[in-house]
Amino acid sequence: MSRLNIEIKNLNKYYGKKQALQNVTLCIEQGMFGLLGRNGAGKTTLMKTLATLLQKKDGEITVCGIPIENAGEIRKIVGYLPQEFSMYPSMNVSEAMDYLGILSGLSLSERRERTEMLLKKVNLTEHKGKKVKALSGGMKRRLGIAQALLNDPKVLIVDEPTAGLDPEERVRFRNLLSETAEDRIVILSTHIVGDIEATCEDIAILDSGKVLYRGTVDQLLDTAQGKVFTKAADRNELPKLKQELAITGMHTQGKKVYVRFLSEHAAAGAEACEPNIEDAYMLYLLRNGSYTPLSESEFGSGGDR
Amino acid sequence: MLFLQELKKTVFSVAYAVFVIVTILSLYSQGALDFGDSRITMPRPGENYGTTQKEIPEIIMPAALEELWGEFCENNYRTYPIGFIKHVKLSDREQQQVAEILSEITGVSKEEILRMRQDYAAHAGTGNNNGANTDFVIGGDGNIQAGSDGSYVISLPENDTDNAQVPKDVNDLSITAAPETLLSVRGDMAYSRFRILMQQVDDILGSGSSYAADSLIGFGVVPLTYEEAVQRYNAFIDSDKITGGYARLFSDYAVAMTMSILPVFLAVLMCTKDRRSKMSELIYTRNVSALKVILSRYLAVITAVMIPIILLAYISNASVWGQYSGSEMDYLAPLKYALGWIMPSAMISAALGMCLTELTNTPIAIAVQGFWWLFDVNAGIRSVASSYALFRLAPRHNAGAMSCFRTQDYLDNFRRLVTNRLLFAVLSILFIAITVIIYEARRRGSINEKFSFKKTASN
Repeated sequence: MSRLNIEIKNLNKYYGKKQALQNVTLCIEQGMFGLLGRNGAGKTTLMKTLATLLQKKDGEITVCGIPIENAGEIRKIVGYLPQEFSMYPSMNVSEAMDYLGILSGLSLSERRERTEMLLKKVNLTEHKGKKVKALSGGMKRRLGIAQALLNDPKVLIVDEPTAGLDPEERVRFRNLLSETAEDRIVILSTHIVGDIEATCEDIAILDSGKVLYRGTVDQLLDTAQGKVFTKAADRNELPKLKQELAITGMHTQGKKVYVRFLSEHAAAGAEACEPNIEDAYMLYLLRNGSYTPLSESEFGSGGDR
Repeated sequence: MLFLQELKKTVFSVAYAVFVIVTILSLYSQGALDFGDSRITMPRPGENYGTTQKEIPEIIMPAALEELWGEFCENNYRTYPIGFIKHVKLSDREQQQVAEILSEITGVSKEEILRMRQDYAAHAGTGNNNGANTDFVIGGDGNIQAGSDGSYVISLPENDTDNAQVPKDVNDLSITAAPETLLSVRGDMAYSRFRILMQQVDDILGSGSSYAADSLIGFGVVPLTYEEAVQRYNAFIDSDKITGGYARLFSDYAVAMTMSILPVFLAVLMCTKDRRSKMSELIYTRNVSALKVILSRYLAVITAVMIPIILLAYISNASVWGQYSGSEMDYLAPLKYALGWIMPSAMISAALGMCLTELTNTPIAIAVQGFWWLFDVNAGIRSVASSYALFRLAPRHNAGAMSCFRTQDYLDNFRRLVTNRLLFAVLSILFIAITVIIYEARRRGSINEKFSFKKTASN
């Protein structure tokens, strides 16, 4: 049996003249893998390419040893949950699972068995007779995971799965993903740092189609050690601070404002503090020239960021 | 299994319910669901056996001339360019052209023709006329007698160009005052030349008139002889086995009114449903082949549209079974005609719908099929040959129940019909093959990335 991994070498992808992916090289092993990046970073393009929904311009991709060009074989071992999806609204949960099971080439007994097991896993058993259109956002996402696991894939690709979910559903969904990653590769694409922090050990940061970082979460945090500071200042100084500092957070207290910022060197009057993943992520964007300063309105709102 | 799922999806949809209702209402409105009052009986000597159309120049030419003269006088020509009646009013220059043609056909000078028309107009203005076609006798006495041997005796005006062709007294040509005045086809007028001239009239009128070369036979109405009536009846009994004729009549209505156009709606909805339900990517990433998806969906649409049609064909056909009890009947005739005659039209309608929808991701196929259907159906049934033309979307045949379903015409044109139906079946398969290729290309992003760049690139 071939190794459970995904190898991407020098992957390039264009939309017309715009390059969406630039020499992307990644090796993804079993377990949860987080792909972090802003909107437009190329995450969905990479995910869709791995799911055979887009064709690469050049480079090499193998999924568990199978070249991506062999789309038929890839589809047998990949499960995909797109960012935006739904199902035929007139179908109920069981019918939708059954229909997709048929499309996955499962026999009747396999479909029954897998549907029952997966609905139980995603806690939708008691809703199996409910129309898809009647499901809440969270339930629909869980159904999405269930359908993606129908063919027991070696690779599960999940694109922005927690967008729009309330905190409780988000936590439940993260746990579900972590459970499914026990015996397969799960690639989680998101722009929400918290999702990555809670579920992934291995991550990559993608920006403007390029891989800015590849490594573990701990290594990412290490790179930001000594680069994150806090500083108290008068609120009137905010516009000036905005010009001078790469601010990642702030909160106000009376006439004082406490800013958290990134800097390669210690700044006067500032105290070094423990970085979090968000800081480290922002540091990579800053180094890549992609850091976007907070706007005036964001400064004016007060409170924590 | 996938086929059954797709069939279920199709059948349990609002669009399908609408399809069934529209189909039933359309056929019911034409009386195609109940032929109970159209029993065909063995002809008896001395009866009126109805008429038939034959390309007999001696009949066609005077009849066509009469029609043309009447419309020329009123400057009100009836045409059917896309089936619906259109009254054409010609300009003075065009009327002059028609007058020239009338002149060549009759031997009467163009100036005289125009003066006669002015007289007509003057009488019409005083309210003395009841219509040119009724009071103005043209083309001889029009006396056509069917001989007992099947021949026709046609009384024509004297062929004296000096006297008969040119009216002795033009005043006699006044519409109401001189019903016996003759304006007849020149004796030396060759039928081939007549056809050319009439086609020119049709061209002036913008086509779609009864003067078109392939429509002229419509003027060749002759009474059926007893022997022909018996022969027609025997063909109905022996070849059609009674039910075949009724099945053909039903097919004629069904293929023209519903099955050449309605399946495209179901096909388009089927193909856009994934996108509308945001389910495309969930399906694209399955390991099912594009061929299996498209073929299952196509067969589901065809099955869904054919089931009610076959049922209605049997309901329609069974309405006459009781009237022929004791006679030998072919009870499979409704099924045979539904599959052989109707289904290829449904196939091409659905196939074109799926192909264009997958290609463009729009419902443009409905417009394309709609225009094709409108053009084809309204091409009418001017002649047997045009009804069985190679590219006829909806082959037409029956002129009505009392025609005994034109069994002989059907048998004579059977190979043309089969060729037509096979052609459409093959074209349908070709469209489906193209659809499979498009679907796979869209699935791999080869088409999507060209048309949906912004959406894809925004994440």
